[in-house]
Amino acid sequence: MWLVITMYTLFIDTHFKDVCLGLYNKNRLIDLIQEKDIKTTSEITMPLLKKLLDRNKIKLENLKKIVVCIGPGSFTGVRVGVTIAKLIAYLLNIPIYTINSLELAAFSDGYNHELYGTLENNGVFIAQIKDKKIVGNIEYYKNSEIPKNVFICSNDDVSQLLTDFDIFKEESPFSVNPLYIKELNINSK
Amino acid sequence: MKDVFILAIESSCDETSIAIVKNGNEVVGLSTNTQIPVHEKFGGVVPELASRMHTENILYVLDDLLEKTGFNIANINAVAVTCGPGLTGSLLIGIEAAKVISYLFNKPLIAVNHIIGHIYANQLTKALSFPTLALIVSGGHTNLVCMKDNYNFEILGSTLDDAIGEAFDKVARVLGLKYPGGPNVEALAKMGNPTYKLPIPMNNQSLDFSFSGLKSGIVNLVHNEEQRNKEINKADLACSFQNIAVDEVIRKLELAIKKTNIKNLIVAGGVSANGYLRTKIEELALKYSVNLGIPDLKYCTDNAAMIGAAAYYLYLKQDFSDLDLQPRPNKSLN
Repeated sequence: MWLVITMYTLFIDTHFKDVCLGLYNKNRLIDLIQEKDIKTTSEITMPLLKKLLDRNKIKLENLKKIVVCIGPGSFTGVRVGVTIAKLIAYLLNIPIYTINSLELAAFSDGYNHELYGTLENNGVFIAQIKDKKIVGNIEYYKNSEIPKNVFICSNDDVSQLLTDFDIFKEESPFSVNPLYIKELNINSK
Repeated sequence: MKDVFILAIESSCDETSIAIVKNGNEVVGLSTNTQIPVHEKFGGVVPELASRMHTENILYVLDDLLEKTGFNIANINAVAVTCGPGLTGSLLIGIEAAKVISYLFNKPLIAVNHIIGHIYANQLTKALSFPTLALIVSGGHTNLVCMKDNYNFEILGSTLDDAIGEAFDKVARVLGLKYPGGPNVEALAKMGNPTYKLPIPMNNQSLDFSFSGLKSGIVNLVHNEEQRNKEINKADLACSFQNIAVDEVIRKLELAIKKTNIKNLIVAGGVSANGYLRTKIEELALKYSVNLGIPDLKYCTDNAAMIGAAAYYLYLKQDFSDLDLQPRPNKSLN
């Protein structure tokens, strides 16, 4: 009898108003949960994760890798996904990989554009992507000031996500943190 | 009965704290990261900054706890977390972490009220006896409560405006002291005398509190003295304020003891770390032969051990939460 070794990877993306959870066996997407326009990411993400693993009858010890989108996007949204991902990676002692929302958008679009944007409540984060990587800085623009020729991605296709592992960055779970871009505007006393 | 180990998480404000508590009264381990130095320069807690820091720190705190206790997290009986009151963005991080632990290790999730946590901090020092009066004094709350049993709260009196801790923080700002205001006002008050005449809070027979008049009195006094180019003796003013604020709490407490004839008293909340308040309460307890419980200083400020203590009774009642648990920033005592 052959022993079948499964290598499941979990993908978590809660960087804006959608929750996207993908389950991959080796590099093949085997199940996906995508909920649109969520108001309370914290309420639904863990129940959806449980649903995803339960309906595929996957035990947590079968998870071998975790991939998380670290934003930029909604501060609270990103924090939910990142906190869940780093806790799972730490507690299961499995490697964690990160991707930012702009490189994710470019990948899912097939790199057909040069300028990519991802949404935030009152504006858009924009970056130039070349050779699968961000060139220069991610900039924030208010909705009224969005430049032309920006491809704004609001619906990432993650089915082929794991076919190109070079787009991810392996990190220690301790150092995985949201990418906020927007600095806090606080007046110190 | 078998021992019950609860892993508890507290992240309602500016402390990331995780503890393992045995049977609701014994702290196996406690790890806390405080953000006070970070918020200090802004004169108070900046909510978005607090949430960012909880996200950065939570794994370090958990790792430190597991490292120093050598406790296998799979051996806990339940995971408890503060669900409110507090800052939404801060509560959220503790809640998500607790959900992951609950799910990964298939352990019940327990949502704990932060104020009830402060009350049960007493259980870590001395077992509660019922019925008991509970005085809650913190930055967000000033309540007099009667407890006939565990998780039975009858509110006898509350603040009508500012919480006592809020008044301490405001006075600290007026005096140019750093955040957190309470300990700094107390330290300064020790070097002064109660020479300033300030408004005395409502002198009536109700058990409600009011501190806004006293607070405004100080703001006006400082303003007037500045206009007259007269120097304020900050230590004397701090001492005058602290005496009036604490004496008011003591007066209401004495009234409650007389009205209810209850012979047990516990004190809870961050302001219970105030030395002058502790001394005055001890005197009062002695005068009325009241059995007094007051938490160790390390359990007076926000910490996860008190959450683990409070969660124990919910564990016994099997009062569990689901993975859709959300922050309840304005949660009340009941």
